[in-house]
Amino acid sequence: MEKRKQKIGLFLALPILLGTLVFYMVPLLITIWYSFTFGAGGTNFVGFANYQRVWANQRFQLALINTIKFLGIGVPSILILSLGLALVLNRTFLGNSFFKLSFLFPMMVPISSIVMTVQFLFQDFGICNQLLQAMGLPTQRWLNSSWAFMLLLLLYIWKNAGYNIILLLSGLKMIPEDYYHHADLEGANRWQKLHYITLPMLTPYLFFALVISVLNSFKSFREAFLLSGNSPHDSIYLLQYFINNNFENLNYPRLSVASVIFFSAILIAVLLLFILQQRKRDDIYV
Amino acid sequence: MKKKKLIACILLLSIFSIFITSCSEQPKQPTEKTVLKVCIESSQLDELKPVFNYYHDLYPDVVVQPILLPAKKEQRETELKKIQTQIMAGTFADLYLLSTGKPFNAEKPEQLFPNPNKMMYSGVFCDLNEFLEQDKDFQQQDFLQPILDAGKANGKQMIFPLQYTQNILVVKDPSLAEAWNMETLAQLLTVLQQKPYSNIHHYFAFNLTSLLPELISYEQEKVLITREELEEHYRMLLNFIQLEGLTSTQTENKPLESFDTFPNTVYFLTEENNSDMALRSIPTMNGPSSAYITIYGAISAQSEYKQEAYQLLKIFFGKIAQANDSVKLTEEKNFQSFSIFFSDYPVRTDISEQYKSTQFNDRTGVPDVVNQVQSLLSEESKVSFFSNLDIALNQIAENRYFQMLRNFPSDEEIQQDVDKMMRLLEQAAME
Repeated sequence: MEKRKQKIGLFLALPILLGTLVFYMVPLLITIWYSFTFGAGGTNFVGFANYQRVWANQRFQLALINTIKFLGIGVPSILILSLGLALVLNRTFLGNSFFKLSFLFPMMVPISSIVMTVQFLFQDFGICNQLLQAMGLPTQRWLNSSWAFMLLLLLYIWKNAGYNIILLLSGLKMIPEDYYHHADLEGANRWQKLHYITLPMLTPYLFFALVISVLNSFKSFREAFLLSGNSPHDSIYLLQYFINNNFENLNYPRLSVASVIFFSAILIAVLLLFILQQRKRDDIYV
Repeated sequence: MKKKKLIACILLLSIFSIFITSCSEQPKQPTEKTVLKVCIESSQLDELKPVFNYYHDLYPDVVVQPILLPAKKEQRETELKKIQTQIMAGTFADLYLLSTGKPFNAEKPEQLFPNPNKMMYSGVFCDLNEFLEQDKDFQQQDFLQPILDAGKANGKQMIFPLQYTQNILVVKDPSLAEAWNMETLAQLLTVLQQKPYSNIHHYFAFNLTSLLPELISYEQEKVLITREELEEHYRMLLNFIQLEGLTSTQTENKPLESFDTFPNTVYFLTEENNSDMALRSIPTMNGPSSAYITIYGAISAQSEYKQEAYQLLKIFFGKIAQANDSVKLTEEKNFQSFSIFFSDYPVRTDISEQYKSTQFNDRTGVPDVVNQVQSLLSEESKVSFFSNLDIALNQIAENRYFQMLRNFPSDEEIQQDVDKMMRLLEQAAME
């Protein structure tokens, strides 16, 4: 009976398994293969030569540093902000529902119109510079200086925080009120409740928000590309730029190497987070 | 359980191997149905069709199938992306006969290979040396060596240049022509500033990259010019453009004339009273004149019919095509003049007589235009393929030129331009 169930399960999952195999696994394996070859079609095996060249490439180094920097600043910022806002929204106050809904607005707005608004505000002759000029202050090249990094970061947080807030809010709602009542009886203060009840109980949600935030941070290339085209300021030159520009130059080996490194980095990061989350969960239940 | 895992692994590997092996079939011998796919611009089909028919007459077993790049802007971008993916996967055309665009063309459509200088190192094209070395008809000395060298990567002839263009001026002022021994652009600008020479300021505004020294080594993946050098050159050009712009409004005299196509050159030297005219090249910032390859041919590294593709390419660098000839090949067939495909300078050096005989049958006293033009190219000349990098860099100077009609750029604006140019150069060299 159990075997029969297994077979039916496998049969039902077969279409999606095959789809994943053909449309994800095979291209991935081909890309890995191409990263060890030279020329179109992947026929000349060159070992790790492509990896050595890409690793020594200054543009790749710049892209890697920028991507790590963006992740390092962006992900903790968005998580702290989302958690803080979720905690606030978890309380009952006037206009609570409106605020909850308003954090979802950025997700509904098409990215092109967001980018247009940013350009309208921050281009060389945009509103911000006009305001600065009116106040007698020096203007800035927002999109063509290190300010571009800050703008991209803000755009990422603004666009993605809403999802995290709702996610964490749903996690907060799942924590039984009894725990807090019990803690109140024990004389725990607000920080102790946060540290010993809220955060441990929220761990699976925080983990999920973390993974989603990491993945969304890699999607910020879309905004960067729409803002600055193929040649952005060095501060927002992310790994996807390196990959995208090498596609334009038809350099498949280099593109494959960068993609494999990129994929490996995400895979390792997600696996580490998964292991961390498992341990944390085990600790809680022990 | 272990068995299942093993079966899953075997299944995965077998699917993967099917995908991989399908990309690398063994070269086929030509059969009756050998189809040679040739990638060309759709606008050039009418001109090139007679050549393809001629080729089919020579090699009846091979049929040329033109693959056309769309001309319409809205289709072109999407279509080129698709084609680029196909090329990277190792399938598409056997032979590419393409143009690069030119500095003075108002329309600069996106190219299939935006930067051929870089493409030579990507492994997409095959080394032509294996065919050239076996070809008894091919003699290195019949071609302009600096032009051929520009199509080489790591000593391999990856692309065969078919036409080129160069910064050439017709100098009508004999004293200026005689004194034209300027070795660098700085020296030329000094001379030009002393007289109100008009009509060439646009050359400096719209053709910046051809006046700059060698900018990038694609082989070493590095930028060859420093930021300081670039800024110095850029400032010098802007200063000259400003002066030149002012004087051009004050004079109607045009002692210098510029042109950018070979037919124009020919027309100029043959139609007008040319006794006092001389052709002179504009030097780059630190040396001899530069030249752009504008038409080229390359064979796909993945092609199954490389030899057949080479035979067709050979017609294009052969004497008849290079002389832009419209001679009868057989009773039925004749080449039309390649007025669209070949509008620049030929790369062959041995077609002078043929050119004169076929182009100017009805005229006498025709100057040896081919030799005159080709002699302006030296071994040290900077030769490259006109690319998207040139377009992007020139665009910066062009925009600044239009602004200069109102006021001269501030230091900050010049710095911004130079920063942008350096960023483009670094990207082109290292991406």
